[in-house]
Amino acid sequence: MRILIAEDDYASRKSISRFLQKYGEVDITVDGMEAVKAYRYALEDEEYYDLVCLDIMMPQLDGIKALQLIRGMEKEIGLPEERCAKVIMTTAINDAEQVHEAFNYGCEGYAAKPIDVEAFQKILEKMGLV
Amino acid sequence: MANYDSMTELFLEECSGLLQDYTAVEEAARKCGSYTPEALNELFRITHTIKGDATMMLYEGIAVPIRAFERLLAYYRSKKTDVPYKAFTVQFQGLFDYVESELKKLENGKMPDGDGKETEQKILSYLAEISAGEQQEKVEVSDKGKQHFYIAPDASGKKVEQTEWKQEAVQPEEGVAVRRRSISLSEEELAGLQNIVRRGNEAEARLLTHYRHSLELIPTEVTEFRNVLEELRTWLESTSMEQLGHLTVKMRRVIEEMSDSLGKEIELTITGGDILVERNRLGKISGAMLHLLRNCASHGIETPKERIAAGKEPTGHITVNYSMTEDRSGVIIEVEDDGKGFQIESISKKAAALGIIREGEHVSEQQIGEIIFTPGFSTGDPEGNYSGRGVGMDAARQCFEELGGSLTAESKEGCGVRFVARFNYAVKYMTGEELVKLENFDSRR
Repeated sequence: MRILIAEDDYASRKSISRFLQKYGEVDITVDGMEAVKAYRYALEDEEYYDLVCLDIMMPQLDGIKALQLIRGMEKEIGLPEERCAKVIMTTAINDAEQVHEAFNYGCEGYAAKPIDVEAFQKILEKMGLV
Repeated sequence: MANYDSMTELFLEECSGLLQDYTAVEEAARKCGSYTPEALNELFRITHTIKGDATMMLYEGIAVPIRAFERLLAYYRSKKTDVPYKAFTVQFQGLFDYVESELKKLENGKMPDGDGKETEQKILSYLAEISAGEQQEKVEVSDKGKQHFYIAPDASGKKVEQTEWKQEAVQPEEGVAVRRRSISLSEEELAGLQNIVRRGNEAEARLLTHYRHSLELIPTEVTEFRNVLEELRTWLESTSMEQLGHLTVKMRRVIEEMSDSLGKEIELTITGGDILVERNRLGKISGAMLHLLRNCASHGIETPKERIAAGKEPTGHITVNYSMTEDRSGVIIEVEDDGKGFQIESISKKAAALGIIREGEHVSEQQIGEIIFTPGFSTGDPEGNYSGRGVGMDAARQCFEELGGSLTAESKEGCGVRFVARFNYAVKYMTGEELVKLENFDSRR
């Protein structure tokens, strides 16, 4: 499985990547801009990401905007649904309005920090990623 | 009284409302002896919604038996006929009790850890029994729209030892609730506390009358007491009151879902969301408001085609405004749409058929505004099966009346409908200063 992570905090970045490494190849970016770029390269090279984990509060470009751009790119090239990445927002913000806004923009999962590891594994299973 | 993760709170509110909806349908069916296809559809809708929500929140223990019940309902629906009330009371009750007890756990700040398999088994084996030998045309329960998942923040701390995901618990943003252990107050206890604070306000008022003409001479000790009282008032308000804006998320979701399924374009504008209301009443108000919104979305706002034909812009508008009454004793809620308004002719016909008015009698717009609140009217329910059972316009009106208020509707055919709901605060909240200003406040009491 190919995984893309966008997280601006070093410690969080390390934890997340270490946790997800066992599931596949992990690419790390430090802000929304990098993540969107990385996603575009992946689309161009046809080496699609299966999972994208986006932090929301990031400099340059926040997670929600990055999500919108990613979904936009997928739609633009007419990427079939099975190839579109599953996106999970990982963030400290868990206000219900924000959560629903994120779902509306097209993410499949929303994990509030501190992340419940067991639950995270469960949703990876439910999404059919592992 | 607990402060949960706001998603968990929303889940609880929604499910409590849905359980009430279950009860309403069940009571109506008990009264007339059977579940009509409409009633079964309603049960199905409620079940489907609980399923989606529980799955999103990862409460598998709740989702599992709910899915089984959904299949049972799908079976009955496929028969396209009335189903005797007694047909599945056992299974229904079992499911209801189980979900209710799991929700109770959540309310008390615990995880809903029931595994639901027993309840599931009971339902599935019953389904197998009643459908034995029948052509099992796989009644597929379609799940349109993708499933979302939400993981609440891990408040247990147990994960910290795992080097897998060591996170510094991020300081939650201001206003973001984290699940914590809670103590709950009963309604009586809360009312008792509010009463004590009110007595404090009155005592403050009596004290202030002495300084009425020379407020600057108030000793610092008195000021300190007043500050403490003010803190108590603020704390009480924040724990017992909630902003009406809290309902916004749910309202938007309902409008979105309805716009999608009805093929309409609806813009919802909400103002005055910072108005406070007693927390324990929010659920009731929410239910009534959502009903009004659903009414506007389904009967009021026209499809884009119809709107263009009527010379309107394709997007319909619904506005919700909250405000306080002038004497701050209560709240006014206005829900207005720019749809087609109450259709005088069709409503008159329906009213005549139900015996509310004489056939052919001329009815004014004003009278129409009252007719729709007749018990049993809005659900097209001649025998009154749904009346007073928490379903329909009359129930929405009853809700506000129970809170000491009212609900009225004005309409202009072709232009739209305006609902105005009013209700009072249980405890009239006035600070000592405000009490003093009251003309009839007697300082010698």
